[in-house]
Amino acid sequence: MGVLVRSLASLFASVLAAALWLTGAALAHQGENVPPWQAATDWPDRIVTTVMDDPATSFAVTWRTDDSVGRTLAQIVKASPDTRFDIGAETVPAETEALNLAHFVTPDGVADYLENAQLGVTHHHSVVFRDLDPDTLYAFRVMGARGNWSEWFQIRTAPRSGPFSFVYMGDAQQGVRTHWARVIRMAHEVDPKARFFLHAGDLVQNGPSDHDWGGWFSAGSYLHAQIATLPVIGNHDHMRVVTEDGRGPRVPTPMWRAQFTLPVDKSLPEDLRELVFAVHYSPDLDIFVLDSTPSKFNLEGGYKVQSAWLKKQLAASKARWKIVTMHHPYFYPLDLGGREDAAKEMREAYAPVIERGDVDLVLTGHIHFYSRASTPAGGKAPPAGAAGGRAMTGDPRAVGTMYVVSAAAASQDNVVAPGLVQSGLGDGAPDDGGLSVDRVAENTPMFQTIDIDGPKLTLKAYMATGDIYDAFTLEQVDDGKRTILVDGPAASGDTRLFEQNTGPYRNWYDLQ
Amino acid sequence: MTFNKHVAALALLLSSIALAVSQPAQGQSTVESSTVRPVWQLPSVWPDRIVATISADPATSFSVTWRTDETVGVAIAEIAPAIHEARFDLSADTVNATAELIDPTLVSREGDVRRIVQNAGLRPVAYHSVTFSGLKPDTLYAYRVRGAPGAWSPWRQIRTAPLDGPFTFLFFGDSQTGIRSHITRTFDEAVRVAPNARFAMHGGDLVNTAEYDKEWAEWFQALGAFAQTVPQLLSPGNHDYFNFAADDVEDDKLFISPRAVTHFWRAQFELPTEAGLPADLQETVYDVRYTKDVHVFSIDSSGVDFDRQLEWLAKSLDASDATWKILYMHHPLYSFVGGREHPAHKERRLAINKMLKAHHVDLILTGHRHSYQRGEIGKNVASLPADTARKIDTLFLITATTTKRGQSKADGWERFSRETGGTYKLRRYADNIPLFVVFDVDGPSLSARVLDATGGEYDAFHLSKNPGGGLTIVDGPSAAGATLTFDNTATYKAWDDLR
Repeated sequence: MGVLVRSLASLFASVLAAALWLTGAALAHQGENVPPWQAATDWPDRIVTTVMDDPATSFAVTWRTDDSVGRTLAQIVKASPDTRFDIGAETVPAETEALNLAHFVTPDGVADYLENAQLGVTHHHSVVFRDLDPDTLYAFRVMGARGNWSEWFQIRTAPRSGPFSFVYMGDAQQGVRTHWARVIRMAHEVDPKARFFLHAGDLVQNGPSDHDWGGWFSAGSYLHAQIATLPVIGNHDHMRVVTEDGRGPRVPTPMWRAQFTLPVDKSLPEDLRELVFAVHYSPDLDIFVLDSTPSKFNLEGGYKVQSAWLKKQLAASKARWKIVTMHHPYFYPLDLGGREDAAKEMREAYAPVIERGDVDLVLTGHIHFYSRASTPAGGKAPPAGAAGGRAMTGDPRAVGTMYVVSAAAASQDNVVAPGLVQSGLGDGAPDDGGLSVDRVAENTPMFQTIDIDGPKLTLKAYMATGDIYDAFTLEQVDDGKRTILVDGPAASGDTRLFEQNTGPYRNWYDLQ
Repeated sequence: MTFNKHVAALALLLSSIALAVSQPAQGQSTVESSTVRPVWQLPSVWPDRIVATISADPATSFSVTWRTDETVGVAIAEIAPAIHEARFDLSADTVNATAELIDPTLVSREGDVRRIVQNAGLRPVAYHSVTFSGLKPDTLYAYRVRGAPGAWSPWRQIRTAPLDGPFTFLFFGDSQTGIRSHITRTFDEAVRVAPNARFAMHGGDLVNTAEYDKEWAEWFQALGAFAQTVPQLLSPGNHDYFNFAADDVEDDKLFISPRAVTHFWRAQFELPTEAGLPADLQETVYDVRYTKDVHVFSIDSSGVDFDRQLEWLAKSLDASDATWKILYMHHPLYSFVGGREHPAHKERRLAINKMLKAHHVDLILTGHRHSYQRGEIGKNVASLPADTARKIDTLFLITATTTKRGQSKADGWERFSRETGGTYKLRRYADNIPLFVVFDVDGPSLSARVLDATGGEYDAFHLSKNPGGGLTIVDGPSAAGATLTFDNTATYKAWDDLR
């Protein structure tokens, strides 16, 4: 993030600014497509905290203003119960990055996104609070123009040991402001102590659309400030740019890096920084974030760069639980566009590393249904069940890697027919017995809570009403050499399917 | 189309530059032009200041109020059972809203019109409200509200009251000052510790200056989605009243001044009306029978006709067969903060006390004093040791979240104790620590956790109903912790620097 230097300071510019200020309200009405929850002002908005590589001692906060706000500030203090907990707060200067919403400029090309045409330049400010104490509640606030402070928000740093939980959600994508609002709010109500919210990509439908991002921030509102976000980039969070030779490669929307301050791993090429990173949340949990989208960079060898990075990371990881998250579930048929064999290339790059790298859980989105699946332990068929054959769903059984697909979006897909599941995980990877899909749902926006307590990891999948749909526990035994999967009672409920036992569905185009 | 829009915008821009250059500052009223309003205060065609309340049977209805600018005439709302499906909204019912136009700059009472200088330049705004009725008990509903066509709020979910069974509710005292900057964290923490709370009560002095639109903007900002997912119940305090006698009035004079609850009150909160009470007390004096077990009564302790209020209360208490009768109002019955007591306040105190002897109330929840105080009323309570289960008649509690803090004076307390002949006893207090209360009701058992803004527990107690009448109270372990005062807490600074 470069520090922006305001360049225009002429008399004309001042007059223009004054005129704009005077007519601000009128213009908002003229530009009927800029609702107040989208428009940038000199007050901070779109305030979002994000996890950094060592969440026990740091977190980042990013916020937005209009381009009248140059250098600005944030404050932080340990949250005490005292009335004036804010006395003695430390002031930290922010970094500021300007973004021209109407004309995106990237190293790979430019994009004039028409829907943003009437919008100007926004400023995205960020700070990384460092040297914090683990498992400690902090209060922070951020400023826009001088004196335009946000509320004080509270957030807790990661623990160095002990149990904790987090929320994982798939695509928000459609009906975000209207419909996803109830999903994220219910996630907060069901797990109010969740340390962070992991969003597995496709946060919006149109990556470059400021309106869509306004909806995402508006739906979560203060929750984005109080609970750290761990965003995973999806294909819809990308956009096409135009190059000089007229091609239209796909690149991450510039709004992604402007709006989320994320760990920068300098061992990775610049194209992957802040998209691919590791979060060492506690000695019990490492999370590895991948970019599975066939972007320009990934189609030119990026998948292999990522798999090499992941292999190294997994080998070095000492965490009890290893979770990989990416947008695409590679064992389902994917039309990744761009190039016919992109899906195969991605799967072959990632799957063997994940399956051999002792990854416990892979959290994904992209296809809008719920699916929970597992591969057998150590590439071998699971130990014989009570009946003498393969362990059945419902019995405790040893597993290799668990794969979850989930979506919180108003748009919902049909489950993939069993015959289309790509059980072969790639060159040389375990393929014995393949993938067992143990629980699915259609037409049901979902979120998941994940509780980690030493050798026990529990995932619960909830519907937007807060009712539970699926649950399982992974238990590490034999010094972590084997992992046993135990289904929760919710796992044996009816399978929710379109036109069978769920209510009417309509696509999302009418949502407003 | 985009081109035309640009041309229009450019034309507007050029004409405003011309306007800015050609119009000298002298032509403008000083207040209007110098007051820069924060964007989060200003109305638009989009709904804002959305708040859910209870105005009728909470098992089968809830109400929602929202604000828009004056251009929105008829607004609508939608409601649907909150089912699991992606398109839960397909079966939504549409309900027309009732609109009320409010001019923030003017207040009036019996023809006495006053200008609110701090609101100067604000245009009239529309408050829209609906009451969703005919709902099923203990059922999750999704609703949304609209300003101009297409300008919908997000869908929010609220659960109707159960007919009986256990549930949780919240109590907050004065928010009043530093609302947006400092109290936001307290409301956020309340949602974290009690995400399933069915309703939240606020014991008055929601803001510092009743008619300042900006302070109400702060209050709505501070509650955020909490106000839209948990019904709020409100009882006004003296700071929610506008005094027609003077610009600034000591609160002890308020009892005898010509006054009116802020004209925002009835516009922005849909609360129960009581046919037998005068217009001045509508939506400030009311009761809500939440379940078989819990009945809440609001008294307007800054309001007019106090005798009449007590008469209504006595009758309503007698008519109720609820397990728990909870009175909430702004002014505490007794409080040992501050200096002299106004005769009118003493009169009211004695009147309430007299009424309590004949009409049973289990809990009295109040604010006003900007500290935390918890005690009990009952025969010989003053002589009962703290570490035992005690038989009492009524529990009382005072609390506040505000950044403006009061200082407790223990000798003042002893005065009240003497006055009542030992039927009154303080058990726990705190200054300089904003606290709120989480109540868990389960039939004849009611427990309370008193929590600070970081979620820490400062006080706790458990109440149970005695078979022969009255209550048994047992203090929780946290009640034995050190008393927090200005002497053993962090530096305090007055709230005037807060924005």
